[in-house]
Amino acid sequence: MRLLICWLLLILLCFVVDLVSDRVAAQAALPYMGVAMNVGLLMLGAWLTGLLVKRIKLPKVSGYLVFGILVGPFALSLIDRDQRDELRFAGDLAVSLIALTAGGEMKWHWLKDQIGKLFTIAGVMIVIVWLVVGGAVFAGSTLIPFLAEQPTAVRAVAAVLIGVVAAANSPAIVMAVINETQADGPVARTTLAVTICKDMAMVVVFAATLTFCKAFTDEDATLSGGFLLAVAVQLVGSLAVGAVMGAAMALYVRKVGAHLVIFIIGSCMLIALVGEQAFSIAGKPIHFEPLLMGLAAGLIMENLWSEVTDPLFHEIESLSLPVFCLFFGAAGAGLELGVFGEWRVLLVLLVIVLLRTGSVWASCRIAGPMVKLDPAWRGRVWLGFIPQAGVALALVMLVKNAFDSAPWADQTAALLLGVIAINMLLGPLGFRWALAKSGEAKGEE
Amino acid sequence: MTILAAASEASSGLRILIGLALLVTLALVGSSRLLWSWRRSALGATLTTGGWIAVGIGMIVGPHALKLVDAAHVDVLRPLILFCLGWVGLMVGLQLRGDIPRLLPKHTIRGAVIDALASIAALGGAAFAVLWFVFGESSVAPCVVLAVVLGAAGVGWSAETRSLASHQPALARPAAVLRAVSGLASVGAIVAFGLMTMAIRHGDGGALALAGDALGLGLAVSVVAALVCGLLGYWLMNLAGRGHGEFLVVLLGLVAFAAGAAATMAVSALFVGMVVGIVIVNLPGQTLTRFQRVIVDAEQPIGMALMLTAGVVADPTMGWRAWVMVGALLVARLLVKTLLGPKLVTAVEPSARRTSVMVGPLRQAPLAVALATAYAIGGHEAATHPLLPGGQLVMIVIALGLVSDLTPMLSRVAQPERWHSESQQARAATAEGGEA
Repeated sequence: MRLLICWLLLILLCFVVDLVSDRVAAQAALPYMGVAMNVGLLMLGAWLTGLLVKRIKLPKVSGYLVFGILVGPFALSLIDRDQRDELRFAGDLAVSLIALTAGGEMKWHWLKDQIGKLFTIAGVMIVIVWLVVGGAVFAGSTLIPFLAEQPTAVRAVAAVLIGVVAAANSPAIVMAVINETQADGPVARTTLAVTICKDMAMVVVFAATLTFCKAFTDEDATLSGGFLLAVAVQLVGSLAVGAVMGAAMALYVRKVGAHLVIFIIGSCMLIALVGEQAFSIAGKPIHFEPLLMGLAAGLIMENLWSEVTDPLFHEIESLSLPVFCLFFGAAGAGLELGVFGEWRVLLVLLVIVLLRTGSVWASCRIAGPMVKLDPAWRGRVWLGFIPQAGVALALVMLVKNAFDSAPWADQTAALLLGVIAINMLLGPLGFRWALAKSGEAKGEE
Repeated sequence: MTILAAASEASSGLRILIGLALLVTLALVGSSRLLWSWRRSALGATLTTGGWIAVGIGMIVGPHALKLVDAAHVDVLRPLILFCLGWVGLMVGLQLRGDIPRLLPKHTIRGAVIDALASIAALGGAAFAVLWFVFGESSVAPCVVLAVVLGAAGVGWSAETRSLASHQPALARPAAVLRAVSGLASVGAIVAFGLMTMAIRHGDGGALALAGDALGLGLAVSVVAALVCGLLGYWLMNLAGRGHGEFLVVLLGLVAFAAGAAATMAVSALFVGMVVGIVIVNLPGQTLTRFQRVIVDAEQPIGMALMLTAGVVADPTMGWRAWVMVGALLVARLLVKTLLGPKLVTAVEPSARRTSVMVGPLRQAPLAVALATAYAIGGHEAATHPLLPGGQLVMIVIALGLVSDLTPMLSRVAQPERWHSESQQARAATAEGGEA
């Protein structure tokens, strides 16, 4: 009861503050004035909602997302569209922190034995999801309202792009659910590792697909050797920069060792900052991937200097909760739910979600025996690949920007955002169930 | 690509990150263990505890020197600065336990009240006089606003006593009294500053005005919001239980929310943060004591971040009138503190009359810089008023603080024998203690 009272009090207080701030509109209009309050609101509100939904046996991460949706522009409007953009830094920070945590979970000797299996599962899944979803969208493109009138080339490009985005899944949600349930076992470890391998593969696959699609629709764009070099530099460079950062972080812990919480936040900012810098290789724009940098940093620290960096990982674990609350709260507030208002698009969206779910299941059924996953648990591992969040959202934005916000690209993006919203909300439920059923979820006892 | 170039081309979200990364890095360096040994020297203690190194770095990277950070960055850093101000307010509030009147000697509490009132009256009066006669301002409201802000900044003194050789057993009690009075007086400073920011209203034709109804409404909403936040924080801390991650969610979320709500309602984040702290610390239970390490651990980086911001915001190009203001405030400060300080010190230790502890009250409290920064970034019309813009006010407070902090150093240069003998006594006392 006290939980609910706190939750209501928080929301009520926000309304009162909003009401009072109307009186002082000039001050409230100052840039970034509302960010601090929104950060606090999302952190506290998401955490409380997580505790509330836990009582009805739902994953806390779903609660964080629901709270974000509730205070976002499509419900209570406590956070409007402009303010939502100002919260983007939460996502940048969270991706770096999640990557650091995920890297810290990867034991080198285990990874060395499993790497072939992991990439096989990831590869099979990308290909099958892409072919099934992309193929179905192209086959039915004349029935999709915003594609029906488009030329075949555009319909093909849209189908390919929808397919490739559908193949992405969410390391953040996987990490958050594992963290919440304190799961440790083959399902948790395999899901996390495959998700990360898939993410690495997606850097190459998506970059190639986007370039190919642009070449298909734009005469100026070409697919060349320079492109391959650029992608290779992006991939290897991200890992190398991350490894250097990991070594620097370990050095800090050894030599200074103070203010670790603030040091972690600063390091995550640095990773996000480096990730935002654009470079040019062979005339192709590239940037280092924060996810890969964080992963390499975490991997290096855990496997080379584990004794020194133990306190750092301990603090990272403590920080995960505030960051998850903020990240998923902001992600919920950032969801575009307008697409659910049009029934024909909604129907297409639901079909894509079902096809994606089916193809993820099928790919695990095919890849599992191929790589000799233990039959005792391989039937449940597919549920970890359903959630979508930050990575998929970023890919959608890239699709939108790559085609200069052409109407079909905008609507494709809106459709994909709807697909992501459903997978974001329902995905954690399935994954948590899989962990609980496998007996790996300690937090569930 | 340099950070500067990146910043200029970056999106708003990234600009926040750039600024945050810069501030956090510098704050960490400034508060790292590497500087600890140097801090034990008198000069090191004065410069680092006062935060002057961070202020210096802020000024060097700021818009008047290297131009690495400019006003636009300060804009994007506003959420972090507000968070720091809220945290400072919370820390001050957490000192105000209900049993303080019973635990502290009466003269300590009386001293804090007298210091707060006398400082606001004397320094505020001096500031008003300079604004009226030297600046030639004919409108009362802006003069009152600035006078109260500068008066509030003059309340209390630095709680750092290590550099005053207070490790001597005989000086331990007077030093403790100075620290206690400084802590209590800071409440007065935050209240005065908070009330002033609430009373400011944009008058007709862009003129600055003070309004009783604005003050009443501001006070009511600040207190109500802070009470609710405090109650919420208390409940949430109990809900968090023993989980470290849960506690971080509550603490970070609560401070960000309270400070952000204050800024959104155009009231002081320091004031609201302080009331939240008072509410939490006076509700039953031992919730907070478990997490004292987190709160204390964050003190240094938060202080450094505020000092850096002050350095960036400060405008050293202020004219001669502003320097007259610095001089007038310095004289007023010397008068008030030399009258009050000795009384407080000798009340607990008569033999401390001719010791270095006596110069303690001359040194400005670091809270003064936080108040000036809060004023400059607060977005009130007063902060951009041509009479004395926020940047110049921050510079005045920095100059005053630096001069007043160097007073013990000057005293050491002027009377080396006394300081030498005090140090020897201290060493002897320490050695005796060790042998015993």
